[in-house]
Amino acid sequence: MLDLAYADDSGSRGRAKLSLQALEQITEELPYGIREDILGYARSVRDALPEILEQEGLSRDPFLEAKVIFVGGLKKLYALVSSTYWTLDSALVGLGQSGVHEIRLGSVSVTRGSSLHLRLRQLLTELEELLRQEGILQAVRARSYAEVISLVQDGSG
Amino acid sequence: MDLAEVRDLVKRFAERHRRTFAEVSSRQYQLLELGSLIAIQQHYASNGFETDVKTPAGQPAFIVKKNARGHPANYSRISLARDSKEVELHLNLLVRGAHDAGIYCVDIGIAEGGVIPARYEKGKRWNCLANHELVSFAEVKRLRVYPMLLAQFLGVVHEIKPQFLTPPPIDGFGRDQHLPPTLIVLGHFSGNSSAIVKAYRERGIQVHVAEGFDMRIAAHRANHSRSPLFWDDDLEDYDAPIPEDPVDGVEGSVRVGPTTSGTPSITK
Repeated sequence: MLDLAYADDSGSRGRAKLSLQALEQITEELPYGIREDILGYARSVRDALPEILEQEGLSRDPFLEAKVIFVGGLKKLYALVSSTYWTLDSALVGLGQSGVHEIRLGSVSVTRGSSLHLRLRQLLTELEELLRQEGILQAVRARSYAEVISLVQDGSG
Repeated sequence: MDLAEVRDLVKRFAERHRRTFAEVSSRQYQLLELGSLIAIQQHYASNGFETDVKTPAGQPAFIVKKNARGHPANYSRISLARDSKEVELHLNLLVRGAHDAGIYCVDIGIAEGGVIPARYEKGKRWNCLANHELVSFAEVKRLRVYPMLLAQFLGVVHEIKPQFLTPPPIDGFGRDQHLPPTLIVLGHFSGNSSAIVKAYRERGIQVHVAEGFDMRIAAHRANHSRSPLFWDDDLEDYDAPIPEDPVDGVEGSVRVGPTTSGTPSITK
């Protein structure tokens, strides 16, 4: 159990560290580039949070901040998965509207329904379902961090 | 939210799909370039341009040009037309530099329509596009935006389209018009790179930085933005005055990391 009440460092910094550690554990099986994208983004969320909280008129809250940082990392993962699928799908749809239904990437041929397209769709579908079941899909897809904070506070993300 | 439970579930998810994530990673740059090409096409479409996708003769598929090698006639292109003006989008396009005989390969070239041969001409070798026939271009990076990346991009603009680096701004380029030289980046701003980009307008530098490209694609797909390369509240013209008071914490066309703005920098 990841207990945010006990941390090596006091307050926000310590709990932020635990959130980043959780994200490191999630991403340790992922390719290096993807892993660094997610962790780097989560760090930028951590760095921006004090200003965001101040603008929202909120006090520093280490537990809230830890959750927001963690959600930030998941937002990046979700954005990566979502954008990869939608980039390919949008390209296929856009080109399809002009009568071209196949993309040749070197030796690989991609159409809607081809192996790569289906696997990317499956990746997105499963991730969305997982996040939905854990009650955080809405927070992950929120348009702003004000909204993320509100959803995490409510426990309804 | 039980952070530990979510952590364990997502970790197992990542392990289960290790092969697909490896393919995402290995094909990410190709898909990023292709996605950028389509995003530029969608940007032009949002500004009223008609689209025509052209494939090499006899080919049913969109053939992606992956590097500088090869005659453009062997690869697909996208034609865009509005008010009898036509441009073409090409991947990995060779173009003559602005100052000398140097030839550069831009990730996505926006060329005047009809000037790049669509088929081989016997006895005629095609080396590159003439500089004056290049309308604009885009460079695509999967990195974070850091200061030296910006400096390097300005160096590329200096070599290829230096007129975009000095005032006054060139008419016909902006959010609702042709794309100015654009840096499309998968990553977000790091360090003080957002401050650097913010200062470009005041310095008379007419380039666009579309950072967080994955977020922009997702926003556009969810109909939260008209163009996948510009947020809807990005300033329309490069000579428009920058608002003195930030609007909801956002100034000009720069997003300083995650914001509290009602307009999306992180998408739904």
